[in-house]
Amino acid sequence: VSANTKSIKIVLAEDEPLIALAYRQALTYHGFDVVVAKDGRETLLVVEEEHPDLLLLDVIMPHMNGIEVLRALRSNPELQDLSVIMLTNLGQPSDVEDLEELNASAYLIKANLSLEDLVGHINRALEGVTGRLRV
Amino acid sequence: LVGCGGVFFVVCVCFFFLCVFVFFLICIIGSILDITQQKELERAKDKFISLVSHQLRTPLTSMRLLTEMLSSGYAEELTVSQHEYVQKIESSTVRMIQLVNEILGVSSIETGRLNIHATETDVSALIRGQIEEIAPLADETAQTVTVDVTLFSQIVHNLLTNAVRYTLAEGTVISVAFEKTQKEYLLTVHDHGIGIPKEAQQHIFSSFYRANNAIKARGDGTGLGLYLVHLVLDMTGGKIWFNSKEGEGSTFYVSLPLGGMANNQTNKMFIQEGHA
Repeated sequence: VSANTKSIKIVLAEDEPLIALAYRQALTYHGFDVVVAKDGRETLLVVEEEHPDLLLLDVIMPHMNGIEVLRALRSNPELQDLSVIMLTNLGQPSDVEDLEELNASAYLIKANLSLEDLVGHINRALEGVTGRLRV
Repeated sequence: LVGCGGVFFVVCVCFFFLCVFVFFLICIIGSILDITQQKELERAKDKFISLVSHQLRTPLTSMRLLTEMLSSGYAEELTVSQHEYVQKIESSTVRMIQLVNEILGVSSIETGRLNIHATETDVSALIRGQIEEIAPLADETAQTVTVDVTLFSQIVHNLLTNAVRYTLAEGTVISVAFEKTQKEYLLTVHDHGIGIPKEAQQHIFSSFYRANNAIKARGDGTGLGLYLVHLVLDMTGGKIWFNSKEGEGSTFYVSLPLGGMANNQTNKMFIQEGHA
């Protein structure tokens, strides 16, 4: 467990319970402080309340989808610079196009991503490595 | 143009021009309707692929992550045999995900909505990266070409994977070359594997097709690898062909124009319409 990740707070927006369980457990194991939100509306509330260092944002969620959440965040001056990693299982080229303007640190296909891969992407995003990444 | 004959002539001319006008109007409306229907169909296909993709990948993701938690020590320790079984479930799940990805990749490209992000790329390094995933490297010289990295990686990966999968004798050399000729860039992948039987050669780029000797040698292929390579090259201005003899091996050639990969989808859609 890396010592410098101890105080890093991550909001995990994921409506699929089993995926949320695995991500939460792995990230906690690696020393991150994880708060889970189960839908888009809850994500906005939790992010405003917790001011995390990074948001892991699922695209398909109830109430508000990830793209709507990201648009809302980018229009809020306090949260517009928040590091966001988009997670999805859609993976169509047109889905990525929609996200280009919203400045996500990475756009990842969940099915292609191991837990170790996810931790690697989080560390890179936190180090400020930007640019659209597709896995 | 005097008297009734003249009037009749003018009426005929007017009628002729009216018919021509109506004919062209029908053609234009027909074309507009045709394009609209085609676009609607493309949008529906796109949406369907997205939906299927999400529905298939989500339970597979849960399986993959939960088995990884068991096998990588995030949960309680397993016995040796439990660990072995869990690893087998995990590798099968990853294989299933790869299969779903391949099918979705093909479907996505078949809709004709392939996005090509061609950039100046050191293809030698790219090929080296792909080789290193599969086998140790022999030789390398830098070569910069404008390609879509994801698509070109897919092409190289599929050709190398086939060469390795169907070369059964251990220690056999598989050679890869990338060169610039006067007309084009040429990628060559040569193996001494099982080769392609003569009767199978005309079908080798068809979707889900596998030659009988390939099925016997390896039961786990999908028959989509070469189809995908052919499809991508067709849409990006490249070409693929091969020489092969059963029992002796195969050489696959991929050519790219000197300008690199480019969007050739207008032609593709035209060809699809022509066949329809």
